[in-house]
Amino acid sequence: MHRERTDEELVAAIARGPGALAEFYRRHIGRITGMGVRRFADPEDVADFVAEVFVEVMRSATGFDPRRGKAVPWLCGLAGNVAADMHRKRFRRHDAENRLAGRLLLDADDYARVEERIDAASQTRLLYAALGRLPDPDRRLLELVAVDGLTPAQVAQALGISAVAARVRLMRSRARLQEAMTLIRTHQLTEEHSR
Amino acid sequence: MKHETFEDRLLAKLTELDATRPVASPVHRPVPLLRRPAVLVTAAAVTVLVVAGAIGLANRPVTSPPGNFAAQSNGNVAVKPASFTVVKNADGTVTFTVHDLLDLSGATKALNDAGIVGRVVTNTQDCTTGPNVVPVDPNDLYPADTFHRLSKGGGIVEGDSVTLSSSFYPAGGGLLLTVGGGYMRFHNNELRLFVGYLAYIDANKIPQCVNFVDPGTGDFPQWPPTPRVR
Repeated sequence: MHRERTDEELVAAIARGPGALAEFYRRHIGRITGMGVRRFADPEDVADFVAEVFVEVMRSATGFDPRRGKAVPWLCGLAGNVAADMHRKRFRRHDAENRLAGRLLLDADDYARVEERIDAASQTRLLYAALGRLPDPDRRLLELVAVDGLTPAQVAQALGISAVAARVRLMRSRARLQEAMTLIRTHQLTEEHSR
Repeated sequence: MKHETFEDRLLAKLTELDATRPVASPVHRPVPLLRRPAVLVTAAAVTVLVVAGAIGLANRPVTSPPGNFAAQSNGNVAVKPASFTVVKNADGTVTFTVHDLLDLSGATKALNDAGIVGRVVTNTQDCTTGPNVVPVDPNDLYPADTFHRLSKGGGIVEGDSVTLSSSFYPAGGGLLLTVGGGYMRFHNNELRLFVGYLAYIDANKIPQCVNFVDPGTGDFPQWPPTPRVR
């Protein structure tokens, strides 16, 4: 009986050459789209993000080491890097031929479907907006825990830090996040009152 | 075949890209240094950039022919007398010392003659295909040796000299030696040479060349290295 390949085996196969990306994509497209709608309010940005994440998987698969952890945290860490690059408007274009403009693949039905998911994720994006006010290391860590639901141990792997360091940073980051969200809510209430 | 959704169309595009990409792609994204085995070769060569050689057996160092290699350092030009030195020690180990980057094949031959299976390489930007890129596939490495030396710290980058043993790799395996040089920012920008190595399970998988990007800076170390200006 044919045994289904693990995610780690799939990433190793992607690193070795063409052929395995499609299966890995089918398994994780939902997760990555979810990460996209939690980070971007524009369907075109979500589409670009999803496309770039999987292109990055092809580029970076050789750097994955299964002895250091599972493939999902690795994928989430990689997706977090792509999102951070997009938000900083420093989208990397070092390999222009291999870039994919995901937005060009959207049709009218897709817009509606992605917008629906974007609406559903609006509260999460409030959190994400608050995260944007945090220092970069804190933001990266909290995004993966609070926005994407990774465990602290998985986040430690995704960011390449120790589990102890992740826990300490998490405690500190949560306190800063509370302050940031209070500021955002206050700002929103002020705007509503002024309308 | 009609692709109904964005996800289907994206998969079709990705499949096209996947089918046309090189067998292995170099990783350009910076990763924490010394956290992944794949970075070990990079660690060995990050500051690196020069090599080549001569060998000596049975405690009698044999040097390579003069390389006439002009190393540009702080405006001075130094001509090295030999590319490399290989000394076979009494305990069976072999000490390899690099003096410049000429004659990599000579260094490889001398090392092989001294009983070490493997290859001496340096960073070359035209090295782009097959297994010849860094990070290497960690599955090809001899993990026990790799992790042992990593945990010791400094075992991967040994300065301009490294002592090797055939016990560093399993039967059928061998060593990849990466050599290079760089200007040391915290040492008056002086030029230093380095040699590092990785153990391979299968000697046939030892790369013919390497091509890496410094994970810390994103730079491509080249020879001659450019003095850092801050």
